[in-house]
Amino acid sequence: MIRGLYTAATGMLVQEKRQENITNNLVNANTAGYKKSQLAVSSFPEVLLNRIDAINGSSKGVKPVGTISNGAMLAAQTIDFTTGSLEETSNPLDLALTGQGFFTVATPQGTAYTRNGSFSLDGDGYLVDSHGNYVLGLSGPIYLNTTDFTVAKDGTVTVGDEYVDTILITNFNDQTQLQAVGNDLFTALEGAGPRQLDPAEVSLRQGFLEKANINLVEEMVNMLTVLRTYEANQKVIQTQDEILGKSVSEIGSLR
Amino acid sequence: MLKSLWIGASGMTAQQEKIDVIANNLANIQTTGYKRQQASFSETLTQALSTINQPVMPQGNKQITVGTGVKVGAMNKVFTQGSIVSTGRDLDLAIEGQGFFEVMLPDGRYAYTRDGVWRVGQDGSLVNSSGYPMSAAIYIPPDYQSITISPQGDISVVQADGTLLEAGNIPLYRIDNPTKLNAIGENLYILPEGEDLPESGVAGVDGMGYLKQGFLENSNVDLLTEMTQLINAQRVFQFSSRTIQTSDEMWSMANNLRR
Repeated sequence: MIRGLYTAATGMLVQEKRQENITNNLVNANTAGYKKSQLAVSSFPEVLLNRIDAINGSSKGVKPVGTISNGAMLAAQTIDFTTGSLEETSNPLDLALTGQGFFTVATPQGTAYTRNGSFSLDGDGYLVDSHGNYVLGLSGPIYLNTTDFTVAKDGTVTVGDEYVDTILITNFNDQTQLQAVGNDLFTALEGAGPRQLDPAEVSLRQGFLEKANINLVEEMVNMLTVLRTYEANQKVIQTQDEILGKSVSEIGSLR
Repeated sequence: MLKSLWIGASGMTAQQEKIDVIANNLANIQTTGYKRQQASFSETLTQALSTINQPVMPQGNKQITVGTGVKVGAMNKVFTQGSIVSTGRDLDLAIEGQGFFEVMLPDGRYAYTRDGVWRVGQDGSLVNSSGYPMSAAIYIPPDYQSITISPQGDISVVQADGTLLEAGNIPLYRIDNPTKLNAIGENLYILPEGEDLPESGVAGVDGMGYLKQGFLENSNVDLLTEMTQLINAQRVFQFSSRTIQTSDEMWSMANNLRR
């Protein structure tokens, strides 16, 4: 009985986390370069159930009955790196990657990668993202100190006729090894295999932003599924509670 | 339960701020020299689930993370050229290209503006629509007959007695990184304390924009873009509120586990 209560409780816990994930996807529907995150649920590893059996009259003996799983847990998180559609803003500081690759930024914790191309200039005139991290070019942070610059399709940054730098776009051998750390950033785990994307393959648009790749209808449907699963789990707990109640109060009662 | 409520709330707050920015842009769509503001969003921090005792399958070195919502990352002004409209007034000036006019504020600070509505004050100086004088020392006799300003900013005045007076040149100031400017209202911008003041330049020289007499620069707000973004923000606001309602329902189910 008690085991049944905890099994159903893990179900509710897992749905709560899925609800948080779906809500996060939905509220970031307007965040440039946002990549939707999906959580996969799996059952707990199976455990062996034993039945205490009477053999040949003695009260000893244990007989395996079979396996049972003790609930649900979160198995994996998949980040969907499909390119979102483009939105024109006509702001020269907005950049969008229409193909593969990530912008490379320098954070205090190391190098990170992002698809959010909503950039600005910091107090010293360097190109930074919305959190103040330097956007890296081939020769390090990019010094501009003007909003009158042009970024070509392959990432070349020019001020007037003068070449400044080329924006460093990083591509990965294994995108599943990217860790989402929030603030629109990803870090590379071992096995991600970051490598500079050849400028010929880079496809940048200046004055555009990449929209979030979430599908509002899909997320709403997922949310409904979560709600009803949560409700079903709640019913299971209530039923278990009732059974427990009966076994505690009615079995063996004297009337 | 609490966390998904706060995530939904962050969504509503962020969209609300965006709608405020859009409303301000739309209210100033006819304001001379107004530069539109753009609100951009950014994700907030994520939390690794295994660190908060949630049931997760071990992943090796990769963590399952759940985000904590959204916030407005930056509210930048976009300094692109606004459209130029003809007014026919002899002291209306539009800057076509780079550069700002410089005026002197009563407290001695310099302010910069693209608003080119000028008039001649009692003392002959050029004064803008809020009453602040142009910082350059230019004298124009208040009883002039007509005035011509060349695209390079050279002023030629035909005085009351018919003689021609060359009254000088209107300087323009080039601010390379206009994102440093702080808007103080009345179409004026100031540079923060400690920043070097820009040098004066001549219109049309060295990449500086040209002056057009009889024209004014309208705002750079595009009505269609703003309306589309407004509809967008409204929809996401609606969805965020739906997530709060659903989380609330889930929480109430948890509370009703034991009647």
